[in-house]
Order: sequence, then structure tokens, then C-alpha cells
Amino acid sequence: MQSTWLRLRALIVVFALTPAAPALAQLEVTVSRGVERPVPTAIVPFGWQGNADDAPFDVAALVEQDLGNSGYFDPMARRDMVSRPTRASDLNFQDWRIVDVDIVLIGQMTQDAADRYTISFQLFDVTRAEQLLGFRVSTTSAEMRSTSHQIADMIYEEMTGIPGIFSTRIAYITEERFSPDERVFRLIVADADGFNARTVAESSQPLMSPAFSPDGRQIAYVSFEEQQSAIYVQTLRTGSRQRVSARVGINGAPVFSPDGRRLALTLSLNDGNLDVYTLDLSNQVLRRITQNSAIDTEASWSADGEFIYFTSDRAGSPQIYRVEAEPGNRAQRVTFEGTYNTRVRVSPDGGTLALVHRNQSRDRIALLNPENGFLNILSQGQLDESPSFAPNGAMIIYATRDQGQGVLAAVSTDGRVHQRIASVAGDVREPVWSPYARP
Amino acid sequence: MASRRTDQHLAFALSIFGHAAIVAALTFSIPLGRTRPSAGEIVVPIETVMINEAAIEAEIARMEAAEEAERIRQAEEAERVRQQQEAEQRELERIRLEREAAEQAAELERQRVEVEAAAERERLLILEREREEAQRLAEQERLERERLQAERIAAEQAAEEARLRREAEERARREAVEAEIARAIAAEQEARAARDAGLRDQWARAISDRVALYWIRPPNVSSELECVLIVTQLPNGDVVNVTVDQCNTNDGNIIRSIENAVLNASPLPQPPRGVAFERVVRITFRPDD
Repeated sequence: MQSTWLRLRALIVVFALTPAAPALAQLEVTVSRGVERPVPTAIVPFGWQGNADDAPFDVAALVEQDLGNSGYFDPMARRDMVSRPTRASDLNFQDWRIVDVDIVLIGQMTQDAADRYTISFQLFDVTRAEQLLGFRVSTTSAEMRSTSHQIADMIYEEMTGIPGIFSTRIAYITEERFSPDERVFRLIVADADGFNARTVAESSQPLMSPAFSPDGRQIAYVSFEEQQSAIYVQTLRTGSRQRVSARVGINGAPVFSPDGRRLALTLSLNDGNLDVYTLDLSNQVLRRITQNSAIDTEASWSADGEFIYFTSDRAGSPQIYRVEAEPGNRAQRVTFEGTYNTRVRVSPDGGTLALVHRNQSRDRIALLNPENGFLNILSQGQLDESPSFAPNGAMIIYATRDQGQGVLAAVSTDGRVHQRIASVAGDVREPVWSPYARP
Repeated sequence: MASRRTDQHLAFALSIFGHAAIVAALTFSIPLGRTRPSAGEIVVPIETVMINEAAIEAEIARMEAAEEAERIRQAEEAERVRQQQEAEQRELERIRLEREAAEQAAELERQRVEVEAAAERERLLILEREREEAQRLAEQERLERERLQAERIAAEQAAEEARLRREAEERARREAVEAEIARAIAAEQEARAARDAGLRDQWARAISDRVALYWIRPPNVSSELECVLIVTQLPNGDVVNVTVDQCNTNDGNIIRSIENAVLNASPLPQPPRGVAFERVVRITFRPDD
């Protein structure tokens, strides 16, 4: 009796383990690639209900510009739209399917008070005929741009899974030259699209090397305003600043550690030999990280704060090295391709390095995968400099030369999207991208 | 064939019977011919004639002794006797002649009979010979028939053997052909199966290519992504349902992007001719970079 049951059970197990007959196997399809093309997007002009005939600001236009600039969206021209719904009840998905639009943004702005507006918007997936986003935001006429950037950020993140960078800021240095002796250097902070530029610091002497703190509230920079270099940390909201290093010799290239407690910087001190140091901002403790008779400068922290990457010409030509962010460690060379690699920046995820790579007398922005040594040249200029990652790692801002002037440009890290950033007057250089955090 | 054989048998039987009848007729006609008297012939035995002369002489003596008168009468009688005797002499002569004639006839008859017997014997001999000949012929015929029969049987056997051989050969040939056909069919089926499998692969590739065209790959897709969709389609390729079977990401935008890739790729490519339509398709998204 028992053995029969055991046999039966064994049989059941056998049946359970028997795979389905091949003839019944489903058709197996493997998709191993996709297209890296922008998502066909319709940003329909928002409806308006208010005292004036027209809305005070075209939110949809700025959202469209942001998304278009990202390279991940392909906004449809307004003149091509067969309908312009502003409410979900007016939205006919078929209208958009036939023009191969994947997502549609509709919205309205209503005036609640003299300078009080409510913007409501909905993002729809045309393919699935379902809403992806639906929000109502209160804003003022002064905040219309930032509100629009926020909407663009939400859409970007919804579609890419990566936070948007339209609400982030950039900092850069401009030099205005009135005469050979009369120059004005400015440290500017602006929206990521170049708008809302405001001067953070201004000097007749050079300003250099701006660097955001990890929370985005402070900015460190080098100023020669006292005829020799000094490093300042300035709080953006208040404008108050602190001189953190004015040591003898060169004080240069400050960068905040990922935890914001330390600066890595370049000092020459008495002997005039440039080395990389760290400075604890809470107690002013200075530590020498590199100790080499060659020039060691342009530090950049690894994402985990454990390492410092820097430029050194210890092997004859400038190359990138890496060293543990504690004194007494031996640096390892990172770059081997080409005779000139400088100004390294570590990507937010720590996986790649942006640097200036000289090739055939052209300085270009390149991405290096330190794991496999693969170098990918991203920019196309002659004298491109100062790459800086956007906080989502998707874009790199850098300075390039155009008709003798420094201008700002950005390139996506996949190399697909190149864009110029609306510039202000003067010669622009040393852009840096802010973190997500707002002041 | 059979009727001819029956005819031969019948002819043979009739021939036997005919010969037998002739022999029988000859055999039994001989005694009949011997006992039958010739027409008009009187047969008088010679002994009987001698007995009658003695009686007559006794009578004469008796009459002479008994009566003179009788003499004349006797003379007359004698005359008459003499005449009678003469008549008797003549009669005797005639009888003698007759007897001689009879004897002669008998002799002739005997000779005739002898001749006839000889002829008969000869005939019988001939008949016997003929019979023997007939027998011989019959035997020969029988032998011939038997030979023919044997030949026929042999021929039939040979024919049968040939037929069997032919049949065997035919069967072998047919079997060979059938085996060849079976082999060809098997090969064809194998080829078809391979072709079908190839065609199925072609179909899968066609679907993959089309879906890939519609997959706008989000930037946050990692190279480790592996998502399996169960896609239900109508025979015209229209996708009616897409569900995620398993997926190693929770990123909504990625899952949506692959689902939309399939939905936007609808209608999916039709199966090639000869490949059965499949309503449910498993589509695995696995970037190869």
C-alpha cells in the first residue's frame, strides 16, 4: 500500500517535472535592442482663464523647450497639431495616434488673484490612453519659469526614470574687458538654461574655479581680489562669504567633498610645488594628499569620497591620477590614452570620468570609463574646457570658444545631444553644474 | 483448355470403344457363319444310304420266291427294278456326284473357312496389331498427354514460379520504392520541420525587428535588464493584450516603454507561409549591450 503510494507520488513528480512538449512551446521572441530616438511628444498650449486676454507666460513653450533640449523628447510643432485640447475631456487619443505622438501634455492656467495663478497639467500616454501625471501647482508671474522647469522635470523623470535637471543651476565665470587694464570678472549663477543669471561675486581681478557645495547652498571659488589667490566659500542665499584659504603661494582649484565637510584644493605653500590637499571646513585642518615634485592639481572627489582624482605631470605630460583621500598614499595613474588629459570630474554615479583630452592639438571633452580605459570623445570644439556633470549624469556642461569668446555648451553623456546655453555678455569660462538641491 | 482436354478424353474413349466393337463383331460372327446351312442343299448321311440298299435286295428275293405270276410282274417289276436300279444308279451317281460335289463344296467350304479363318486370324492379328497400335498410340498419346501435362504442369509451375518470382520482384521493387518514398517523405518532413523551425525563427526575428523599431529605449535601462512580456495577438497581428510575465526592474517608465513598444508595433508581422499562427507570444527584452 505504502509502496504503491510512493510509486504514485514518484509518478506525479515525474509528470510535474516533464517539460511541455516542444510543439506546444510558445513562440519566443527576444528583443535585444531598441531605438535611441526622442519620444514623440505633443506639448499642447495651455488654456488660460484670467483677467487679461493672454496668459502672462507660455508655460507649455518653456516645458517644450526644456524637453526638446534634453534630447530625449521630440516635441511636435504647434502648427502641426490637429487639435489643441486643454482638458482631458477634450482629448481624443486617436488624433495623436495617427500622427505617431506617444505622449501628450495638456493644461490650463487660471488666475486666482492679481499675481496668483494655478497651473494644472496632465500628461497622457497616447498608446495606452492613460494618464501618467496630473498635478495642480500654484505660482506667481515671477515663478513661471521655475514652475515650468519643475513641470518639465516631472515629465522627464516620468519618462526616463532619471530626475530632470531643468530646475538646476549653473555657475560660471565671465570676464568683461573694457580696456587692457580695465576688466571685470564675475561669478554668475543662472538657471540651467542660462536664464535668471545673477552675479554672485564681482572683481576687477580674476575669479576662478567655482564649485557648488553638495547641498547647492554654497559656492567655493578662487579670487585674486587681494592681488594673490585666495579661496572663498560663499552662501548663495545670503551672499555672506568666508575666506577659507589664503596661504602663501597658490590657493586654487577647490572642490567640496561629497559630504560637504571638506574641500580638496591645490596649494603651493612655501616651496612653490603644487600639491593636492584637503581642508576640513569645520576645524581648518589641512592635510597633504599628494607629495610629488611635479605639479599635482585639479582635484575631484570620487562619488564615495574615498578617493581623489587629480591632474599631474609627474610622468612628463599631464595625466589623471587617483589617490586615496588620506595622506601618505601612493597615486595610481588613470589615463593612458593621449599625451594630455586634465581637469577630471567624476560622474554622480562614480562610474565615469569627464576630462579634457588633447588630441591633434584640439582640447575636447571626453568620457573615460576607468574600468576598461575606454575613452569617448564627446565635444567637437578646439579649446573645450572645464567639463561638469549635471546632477543626473545625463549631461555635461563645458566651455568652448566661439569667435574668440568663451561660450557655454552642453553635451549629453551619450553624445547624442549638443546644445549651446544662452550666454550672457563677455567671455565665459569654467561652468559648473549645481546639484539638485536648491538654495 | 479444360474443354479441349475433355474432348481428347472423349475421342480416346470413342476410339477404344470403336476398336473393341470391331473386334467383338468379328469374333462373334465366325460361329454364326459356320452353322448356317447353305441355301437349297440336302444333306444325306452316307451310312443311311447303305442301310437302304440291303433292305431293297431282301425285298426282291422275297418276291421271286413267293410268286411266279408274279414273274411278269416281276419282269415288269424287274424292268421296273432295273429301271429303278438304273434310276437308282443314276441316283447313286447323282448322289455320288452330289456327294463329291458336297465334298468338293465341303472342301471348298473348308478351304473357304480356312481362308476365312486365316483371313479372320489375319484380321484379328491386324486388329490385335491395330489394337496394340491403338494401345500404343493411346499409350503414346497418354504419355504425350502426360508429357504435355507434365510440360504443362512444369510450364505452369515455371509460370507460377516466374509469377511468384515476378511478384516477389515486384513486391521487392514496390517495397524498395515505398521505402524510397518513405525515406523521401521522412527527409521531406525533416526538411520541412527544419524549414518550419527556420520559418518560425524568421517569424520571431521579424517580430523582434519590428518591436525593436518601436522600443524607444529609456536612458535608465541597464544592460542587465530582462523583462518577459506575454503578448496576445489576433490572427491579423493586432496586439490585444500585453502582460509582464517577469521583469528584473521596477522602473515604471522602462516597463511602460517595452509594453508600448509591443503595442505600437501592432499589428505584428504575420507568420511566414507554412508556419502556424500563434496567438500568444513571449517577448523577452534583453539588451545585448
